[in-house]
Amino acid sequence: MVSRLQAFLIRRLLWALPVLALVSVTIFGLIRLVPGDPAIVMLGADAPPEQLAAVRAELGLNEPLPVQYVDYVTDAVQGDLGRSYVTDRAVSASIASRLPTTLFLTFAGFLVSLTIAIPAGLLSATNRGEWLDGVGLGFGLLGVSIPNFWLGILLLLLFGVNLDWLPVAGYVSPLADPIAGIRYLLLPGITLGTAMAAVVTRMLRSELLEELRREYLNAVRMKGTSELRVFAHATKNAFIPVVTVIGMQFGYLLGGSVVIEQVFSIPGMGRLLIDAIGSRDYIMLQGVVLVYTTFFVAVNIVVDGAYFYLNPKLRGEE
Amino acid sequence: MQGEDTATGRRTFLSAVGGAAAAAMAGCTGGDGTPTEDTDVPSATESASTPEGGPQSGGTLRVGFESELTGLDPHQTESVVSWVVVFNVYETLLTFEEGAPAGRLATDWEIGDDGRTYTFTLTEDARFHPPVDRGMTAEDVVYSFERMNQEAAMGADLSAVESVEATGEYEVTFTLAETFAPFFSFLGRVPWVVVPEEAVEEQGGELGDFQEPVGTGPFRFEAYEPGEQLTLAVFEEYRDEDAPLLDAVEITPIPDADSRVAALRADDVDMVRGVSGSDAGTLRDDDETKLSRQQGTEWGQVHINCSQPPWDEPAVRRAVAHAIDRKAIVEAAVSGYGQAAWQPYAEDSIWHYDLGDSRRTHDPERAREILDEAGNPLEGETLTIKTNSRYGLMETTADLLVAQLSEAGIDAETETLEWATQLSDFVGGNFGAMAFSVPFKIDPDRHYYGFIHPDGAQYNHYGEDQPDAERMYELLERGRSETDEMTRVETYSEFEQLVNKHCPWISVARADGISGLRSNVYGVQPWLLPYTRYWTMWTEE
Repeated sequence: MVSRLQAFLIRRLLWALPVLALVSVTIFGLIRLVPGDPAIVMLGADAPPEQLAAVRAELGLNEPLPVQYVDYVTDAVQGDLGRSYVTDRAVSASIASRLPTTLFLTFAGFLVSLTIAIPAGLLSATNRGEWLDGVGLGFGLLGVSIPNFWLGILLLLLFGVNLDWLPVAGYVSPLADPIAGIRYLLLPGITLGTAMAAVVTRMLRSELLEELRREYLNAVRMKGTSELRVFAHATKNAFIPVVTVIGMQFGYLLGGSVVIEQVFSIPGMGRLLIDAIGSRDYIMLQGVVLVYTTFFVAVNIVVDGAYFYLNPKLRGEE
Repeated sequence: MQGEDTATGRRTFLSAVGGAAAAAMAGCTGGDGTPTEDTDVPSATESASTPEGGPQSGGTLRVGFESELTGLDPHQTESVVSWVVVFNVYETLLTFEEGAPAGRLATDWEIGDDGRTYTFTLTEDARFHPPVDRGMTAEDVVYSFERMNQEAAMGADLSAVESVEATGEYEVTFTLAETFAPFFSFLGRVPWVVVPEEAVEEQGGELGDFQEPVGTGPFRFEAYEPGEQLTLAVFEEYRDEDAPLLDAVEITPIPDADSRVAALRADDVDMVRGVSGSDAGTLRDDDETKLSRQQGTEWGQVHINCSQPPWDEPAVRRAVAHAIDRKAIVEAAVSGYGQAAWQPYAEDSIWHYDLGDSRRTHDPERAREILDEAGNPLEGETLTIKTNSRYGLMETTADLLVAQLSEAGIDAETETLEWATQLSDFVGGNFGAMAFSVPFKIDPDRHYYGFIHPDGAQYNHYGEDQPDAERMYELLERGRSETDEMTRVETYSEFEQLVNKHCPWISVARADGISGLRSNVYGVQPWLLPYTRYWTMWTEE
């Protein structure tokens, strides 16, 4: 028999299909509404018309839009995302080589934010009104208010240039060289994770404070449970809404990584995206946005699944 | 370039009968820091002090590029950054030294009396890198030119060529269908390089397939991880024993301008391209860094669509030409790393024409008078200046121009577009005026023909109804078909006078190309174009 969780996941996966289909139409249509011509960007202002025409024909830009779309989707479902107008490399290969980088960066941001947020949120809530709480609240406010590109440049100037502790630009895969990889990911991870850390800290603090006031905790205490166990009960419940926020924030981290990749010169998908927009490399742009969307959808499904697990009300009886 | 080749090249050049060779003698921009009209231009520090020991060999140069490479097939890649790599791995027949053509793969040349046949003697010492590992011959040149001339890959530049033939093992002859003066200098264009057929075939054979370069240049291709790093290594068997000095060059894209400068200051790289005027001061004042400056790599203009009202009225264009304060724009846009300019070529170029007192200088009163005399055609009008936020020179030009126009009583506003959109509008003629800039071109034909002549299809905005249009078309035609240098100079002088008179565009500035260097990096040789010769560079340990 299918459990409720399984049924739920299957339903969500099926729902993801029309979402992705809609996204593909939207991307395809929207980027073609933007004025600009990939052939002109590629060849420059002094390209002769015959050369422009040849390139347009070669890129298939002369076909009517619906035909272009059907061609694109037919190839895409077979795993062929086309070839970049600019570099002539397969889009899927370009993305495959950049995706791990972006995921490592996003994961670094995720790790940094939780490392900061969970202790900060817990300490803030348990020391309400004291100086530790003040620090937590202050961080919560600053973290969401500071634009991350600006924070990135400041960190880069301080730790990269003035103190010269960490490299300023570039990327080494942590798989190839763990130490160097971490050195390269540290500053981008902090920059990317700060805003999320701040959001999660604030959220965790307020949820936990609310939970600690709940009456069921008194019932637990009356059973003679230690204060630590009581706290653990409260924390688990406080995490239910926090997990949703963490999941949504993970999606935002993916988006934020576009900017961070630019500031720290990390060759991830964000740079592919920005270059593709600048050069009107439609085919690359479609592929990259589609992959971002897929990840966003996937993360949401995972989060909902986790929510299911944490909240017994949703789980119910089999 | 390499001592002897240059000497031969120059000698041959001076004795060449055919005028086309001379015609190609493009503007000497004084890239090595020749004094210019502007006295308050900040001085560049490069080559201020070379250490006593002289050049040292060995070491790796780490370079930060302003964008990712767009591919490595030399015959099908269009970006400046890719061309820098091509320029160091491959070789063209010609190059330029001190503004004059000099040999690279060619050691000698002869131009037929009819100006249509060009015969080049090739060096016998050029070798292709491994795995091809053999000497280069005339057949390779023929193959390469046939390859680059397919699918209109080089546009109209090669269309004048009727045939390319190997007339000896080390001799190649080009025959043109008609005289085309700029052709000779085009032979120094970066993508017109020689490739070995067997390597191309092995990598797929099609245009665009040749992504693992095998050339004859001073550096050979070693490794490339798209987006991350490209490594060039010294080609030990390069025919010039003194070059290159470096063991390797590592190229990393650092697209963000602030991060690029930070990476240089943190010693993560030894050289960065594309330093903005505002960052240049920081690098110049820091003891650990310095600048290398190449004058006039960009020509900034207010580009005008003379077929769109109110810009079709010459008086409007003349008034704007007087309202604009070029010097203020150069100060603001590139922190003085450039010159106020009334034409693309600097004073020391043969293509520069001295306009004297006739040139339209900053004079808001004169602008008002011109408009009054013409019956105030701008009454109730607001001019729109299109621009973009990607290129500082264009953005600042537009912003300041609007302020300067209001001083002359002209209403104007900017319209800031995304660069690709502006480029599209430019080519499609969808604008009245836009702040624009183009890379420096060696031959004036390349700068002027497309902007004015009706055959330059998409820019044909200077219509026949405009004053002296026929005469300007005629001059441009003569400029490209005439091969005698003096006649060409006279032709373009008259053309410049007409440009100054009718303002089909308004020249604003020549902006410099600035690179940042660690202070232990030496040997940068700025030349006419913004492609660095890494083989002359060295670092002091």
